[in-house]
Amino acid sequence: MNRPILELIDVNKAFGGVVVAEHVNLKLYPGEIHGLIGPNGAGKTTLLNLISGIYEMDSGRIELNGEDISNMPAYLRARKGIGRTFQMPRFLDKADIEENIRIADDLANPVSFLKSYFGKNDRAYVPRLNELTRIAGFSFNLEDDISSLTFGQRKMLEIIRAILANHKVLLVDEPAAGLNGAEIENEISLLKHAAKNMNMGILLIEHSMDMIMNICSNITVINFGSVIGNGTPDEIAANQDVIEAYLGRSKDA
Amino acid sequence: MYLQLLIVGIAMGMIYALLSLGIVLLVRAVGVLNFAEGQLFMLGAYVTFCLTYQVGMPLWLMIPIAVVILFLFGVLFMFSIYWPLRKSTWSATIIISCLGASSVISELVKVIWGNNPLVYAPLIKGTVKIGGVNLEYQYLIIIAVCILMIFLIQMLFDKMYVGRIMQAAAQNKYAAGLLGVSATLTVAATYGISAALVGIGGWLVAPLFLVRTGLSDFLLKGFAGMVIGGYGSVKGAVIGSILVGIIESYAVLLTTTYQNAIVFLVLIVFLVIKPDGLIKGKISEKA
Amino acid sequence: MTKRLLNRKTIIGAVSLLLFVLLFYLYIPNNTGAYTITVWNSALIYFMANIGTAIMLGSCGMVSFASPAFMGLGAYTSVYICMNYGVNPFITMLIGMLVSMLFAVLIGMALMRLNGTFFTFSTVALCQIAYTVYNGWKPVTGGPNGIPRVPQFTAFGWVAKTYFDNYYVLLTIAIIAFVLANRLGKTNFGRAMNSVRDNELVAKTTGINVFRTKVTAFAIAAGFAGIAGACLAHSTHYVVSTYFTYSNATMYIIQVMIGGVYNIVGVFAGTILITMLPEWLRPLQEYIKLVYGVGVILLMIFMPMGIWGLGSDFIKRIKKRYHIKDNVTPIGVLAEDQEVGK
Repeated sequence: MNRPILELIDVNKAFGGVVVAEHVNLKLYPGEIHGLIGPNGAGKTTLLNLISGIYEMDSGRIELNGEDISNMPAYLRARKGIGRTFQMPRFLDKADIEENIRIADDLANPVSFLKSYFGKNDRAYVPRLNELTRIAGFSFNLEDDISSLTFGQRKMLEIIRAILANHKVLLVDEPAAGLNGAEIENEISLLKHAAKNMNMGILLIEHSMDMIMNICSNITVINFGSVIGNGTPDEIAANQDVIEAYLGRSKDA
Repeated sequence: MYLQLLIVGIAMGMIYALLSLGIVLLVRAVGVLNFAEGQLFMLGAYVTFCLTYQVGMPLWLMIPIAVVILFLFGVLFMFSIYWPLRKSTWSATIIISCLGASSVISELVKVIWGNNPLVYAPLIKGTVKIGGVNLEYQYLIIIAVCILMIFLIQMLFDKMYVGRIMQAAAQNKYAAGLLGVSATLTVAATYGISAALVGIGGWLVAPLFLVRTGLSDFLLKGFAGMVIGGYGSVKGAVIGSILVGIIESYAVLLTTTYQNAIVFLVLIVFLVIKPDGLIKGKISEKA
Repeated sequence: MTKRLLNRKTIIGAVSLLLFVLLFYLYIPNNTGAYTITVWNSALIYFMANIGTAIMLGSCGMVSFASPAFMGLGAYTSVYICMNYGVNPFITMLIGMLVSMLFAVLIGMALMRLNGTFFTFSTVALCQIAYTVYNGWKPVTGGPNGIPRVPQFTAFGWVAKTYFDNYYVLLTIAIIAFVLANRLGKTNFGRAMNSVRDNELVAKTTGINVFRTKVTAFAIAAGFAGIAGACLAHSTHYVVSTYFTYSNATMYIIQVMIGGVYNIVGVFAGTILITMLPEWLRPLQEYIKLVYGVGVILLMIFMPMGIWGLGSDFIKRIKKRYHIKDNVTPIGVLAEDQEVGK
């Protein structure tokens, strides 16, 4: 663990009068799977949106690999290496799987427009795609439509897409929601593969405590937009504030 | 001169306001931009012309019957143009279908009433002297009737239960369904009201601009007013449209050739500087 | 296995190209009258402009009514330079195209800050402004009287004297436009456009500059419209403001939708169909627009992907019926089972 790949320093954001992020500090190291937990409406997805640049923050600073990216638009942050998945998987639904994968490949291996116009249809990404899909434990044809995949497969393909884009940081929003046990196992190996073999820093939002405790080396707990706990899984499990935040809300969970 | 231009501007602005209200109602209810609204406007002129001259009804009878006919036409429009496409994932299909409908209405009108413009006598003939200039009574009638119509629409949507239900249906079809509101019925009614509203607009301008298919071009000014005022907001649509009317009216002082261009230039400038419009509408996109 | 299937595709491509050349270069000009060939000419011109509209709509997902505005810009620029400085029409056409694209970049940078419906509105406004200017700026555009005696196509001493000569010129330009545009969808820019169309969030999070992609698409569309407008002027020897009205814009959009927005072959079919229909349905002349209107509505309800959608459904059914397998690339199966990737 050397220096963080992603660092949030005193990030604040409010929508109207509602504070959704307050003095948030967070450090994500390369090769680490970092859990982000908290009750419903605590501001977890908002934080991902702030990091990926979909929302602008009110004040604070976000650094990627030591570089200040606070004022960069979302697409530049993606080019710098921040990738993400969504709660409901998002794809180009009028295009086939190949095109959905190719946009990630375009990001990882950018070529000039002219080269792309006159060059051959390059499929150099196929072997890697194959490897990742095998880890994820499903199969498809490149020419299929996105709609031919199940919900769980789509969630995994989203992660695969982000891995193929060679991101340095991967923000994963509730990867296990809606997946069955076997799929979750495969998904965990996929995420572990990304962290271990690709040295990606993964920030993971998840409600399933089993999964969080199982794969995260560090956990940050937020509630009402502010960090209420931070530490290893064991420390978090013993943290009184965290237990209260969860128990206080456990009735509607 | 300036006063006259102002009154003409306000009157035309009121007409544009009816059109933009007609569009806004549908935008709020079903989220669809009705590109055929101009044809419904023109149809209003033809229907009232037909009832007045070809059937020979007196005014007090003609108005309610025309409103009913236009309302029913709006409902028919909804079931043939909007309903079959409501689940389409491709938003362009409904725009294209509206374009198709506009051509159908225009051509049907031509088949029934012919290509030549028809003359509709004003309600009160002659002119009135205001501030030393003569002005047709019709402009004043337009202002009066439009204020009444806008007031009624405002009442319907803000004060009355039905209007609130319609808005509920627009914002959350599922919740509206739980309330026991048939989404189909509210949408149909909205289409009917929208058609009747702009149809009355068509009747109002007929004495000034003749009864002709070209009346449908008024729609573009209504669009402009709606966008300037704030997409999806009732108040904004009215204010924006009146602004468009006044700008258009005063543009005469600068140029007659480029009068239209000035209005649309203002629209584009507005779109770029203040894309949310003067008054922020209730429809905002979720990130 | 892969190689054999690839061959089949090449054969189908070569045969259809041959048929196309025979039909359009030999059969049609030799079997049509002097009047009908002018209708074919306008169909080809509309097709060039519609390629632009189809790129905007099918690839980028934006309904644009701007194509008459840029057609006019291309036409008047080309005619002005050609008549005042005596430059060859083929060169002035390219200048007209570039001017259209330049304007589109400037205008696009303003309009693309608006999303969806707002953008569509603003293109309607743009179309109206452009028409008002073309109609009013008489010293340059001739206004409602137009500019007569626009020079015809000429190159290396050859002059396009008849409408048949024009037909060959237009057909060739249309084919070039087709080839250029067809490849566009398979490039990284094409994919960027598609992601803007389907999901802007995905586009942003995969590093696509949504704004720049939209402006570029708008400029490309304007380029196709510009060349089409210039062709219109030089092939009819006349240019007038009424060529470039809003109602033309709606007709272009309908042509594109009828053909099918995703495929340029479909756009070609739609354009030809809508332009030639009045010729084929002479007895219905009076009601032709009514037929269009009803047809368009029915089409949107039952066949929103147009002629191309219908065609590809048909091909799929044929393939299923005769058990013809597509050339697919399986992913996620064991390595020894597959041979692609190279």
